[in-house]
Amino acid sequence: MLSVKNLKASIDGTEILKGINLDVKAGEVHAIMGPNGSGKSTLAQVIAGRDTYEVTEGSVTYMGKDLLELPPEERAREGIFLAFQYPVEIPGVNNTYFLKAALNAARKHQGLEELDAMDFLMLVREKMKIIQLDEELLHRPVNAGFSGGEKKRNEIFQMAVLDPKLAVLDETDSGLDIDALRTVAEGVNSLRGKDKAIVVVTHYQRLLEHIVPDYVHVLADGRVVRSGGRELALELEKEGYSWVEQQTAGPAETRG
Amino acid sequence: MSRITAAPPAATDFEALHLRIVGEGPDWIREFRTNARSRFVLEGLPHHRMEAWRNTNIAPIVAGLFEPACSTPEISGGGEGVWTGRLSQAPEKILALVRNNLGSLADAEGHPFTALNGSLLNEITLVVLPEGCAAGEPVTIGHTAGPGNSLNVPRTLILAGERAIGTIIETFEGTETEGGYFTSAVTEIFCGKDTDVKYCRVQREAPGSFHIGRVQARVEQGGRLHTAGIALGAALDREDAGVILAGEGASCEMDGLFLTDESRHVDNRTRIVHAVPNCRSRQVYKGILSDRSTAVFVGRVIVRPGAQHTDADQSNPNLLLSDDTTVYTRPQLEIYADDVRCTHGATVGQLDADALFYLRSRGIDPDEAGRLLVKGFAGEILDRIEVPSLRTQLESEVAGKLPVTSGSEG
Ligand SMILES: Nc1ncnc2c1ncn2[C@@H]1O[C@H](COP(=O)(O)OP(=O)(O)OP(=O)(O)O)[C@@H](O)[C@H]1O
Ligand SMILES: [Mg+2]
Repeated sequence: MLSVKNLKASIDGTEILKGINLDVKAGEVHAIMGPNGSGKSTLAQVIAGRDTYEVTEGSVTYMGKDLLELPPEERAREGIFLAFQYPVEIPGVNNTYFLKAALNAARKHQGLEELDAMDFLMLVREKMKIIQLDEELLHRPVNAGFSGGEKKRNEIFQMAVLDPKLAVLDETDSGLDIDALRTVAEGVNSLRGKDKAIVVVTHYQRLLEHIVPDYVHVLADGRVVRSGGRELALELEKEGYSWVEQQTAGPAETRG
Repeated sequence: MSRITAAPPAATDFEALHLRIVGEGPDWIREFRTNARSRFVLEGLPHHRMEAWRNTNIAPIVAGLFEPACSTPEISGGGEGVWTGRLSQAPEKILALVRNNLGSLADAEGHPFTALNGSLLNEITLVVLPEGCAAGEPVTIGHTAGPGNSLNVPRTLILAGERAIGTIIETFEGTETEGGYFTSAVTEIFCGKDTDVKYCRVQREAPGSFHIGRVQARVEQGGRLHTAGIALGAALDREDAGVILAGEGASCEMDGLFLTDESRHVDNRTRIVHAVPNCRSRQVYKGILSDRSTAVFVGRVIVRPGAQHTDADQSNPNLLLSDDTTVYTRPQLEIYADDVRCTHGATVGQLDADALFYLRSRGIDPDEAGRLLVKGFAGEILDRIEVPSLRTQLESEVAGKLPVTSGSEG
């Protein structure tokens, strides 16, 4: 579904991604872990199409398409969703209005009929139950004044409504209380399917108890330095990243 | 036709105009005009070396040839207990009120255009909310300017007695699509004790026209005034809004929204006087600028000696949608009391790149994303307009005026 090959990206001339390889197939869940500043969010943002990062080398293929050629809105309409590590507050733009515009943009692109207000409301109600999002948040401007946890829940709620093929969750577990973590995980799990894939960026093994990954990758200094099964996450939690860093020097192997 | 100038030859022109256009009316009104005219001659026209006019060039007005026109305001709404009408329709009792109050707030001294308005004064729009009255529906005052080259002098007087509650909407527009006309408008608002008055002013003059507006209000003890000034049109627009908080516990909230494009220019000046203790004022003036347009905001807050526990906030956020726009913004705080809280802040910025990317990452078109953000920015002001029909109308007018911003850079 997603194939990242030797991806290099820089910002203001500083190289941040130094040759990433990642292969995600439909039906799989991948976890990406790694120390602060290692480039996890950069990778997520490059996949979503943020153009402040300059891709200097490599390729990203998604469902047979050259992803780097597409503007962010088209990537979204093709089924890519990024849950932001820091969801953006947008004062004055109503959450429901925004979500309806987003959903209908994707439906139109996919040749589906746009949802009217009634159908949209029904869909929203259904998804709200799964994510347990406070209805009041729907009527507020996007993320404006939301608590940290509410923002994260809102990301997952948007994901549930937009029903993407490839979801990239950037530290969606940070800042969530235990109950919220469980609901968010349930929301993510309800999205799993054999024609879908999920990439979770996290620092904590705890989330991975709920969302069980097929593969775990460790990112350090802009490279995938280690890949393995879910047990790698447990090892990391015990040993810390320095253990991986010591073990690895030079270009990394990947498999996903 | 005559040029607007205070030089002697033009003064003679005005003499003739008086006879032809405004020669009638009761003695006191003739006297009012004569005094205003002397004031106008004395003041002279403002020029850019004067502090208050430094950023606004009125040369196009000075160069114009204008023909004074009669005011023909359309007045509707109000409901039971509210007296609305024109001076020419006013009964004796109302006339007495006008005579006692007209010009007492909007002093012409230092305000040449107020003097000009007074010197050509003909019709006056009157809104009287008697003591304890709760106006059932908003009063709407619509001014339509005369043809190109007309000089229009709308004048409005709003009197709210103790505990009166009411909403007044005043709009300025022109039928002349090319514009070219000049409107010099003055509105005075008296808010008595414990009143709750909302005043919304919409300037949607024709593109090539000139608008110089002045609103002057006074709020007595416990009274509340909310003003919203929405500026959408005119080639050159100058708005002076002044409020005197004259009794303890009085408050005013002033909202402003101005949209400029092409080479238009909007200059907003506020002046809030905290004359007594325990009053609160809040100002939020938002600007959305595109093309080569320019805007000025000068927010003046004066805290008189002894006006302790004054609480005054002021902010002027500006959104620049092109690289060629210019904004001059500055607060002027004059504080003569020590136990006060005064804040001010101005921002000048472009569309938030993070917000644009966030919207696009959800599948929304860059243009649509830009429009949503600008609408959101304006929405903070429009949402506070409590008349649903007006709010909806302004929302679509504002949306219609927004340039197609390309978010594709973000
Ligand atoms: N806009 C930017 N300007 C300058 N440096 C940047 C920018 N964005 C990212 N970086 C740098 O790139 C590196 C990788 O950042 P990134 O956010 O991808 O890390 P991360 O792995 O997600 O870290 P964390 O675990 O703290 O979220 C960091 O050193 C960061 O400072
Ligand atoms: Mg990160």
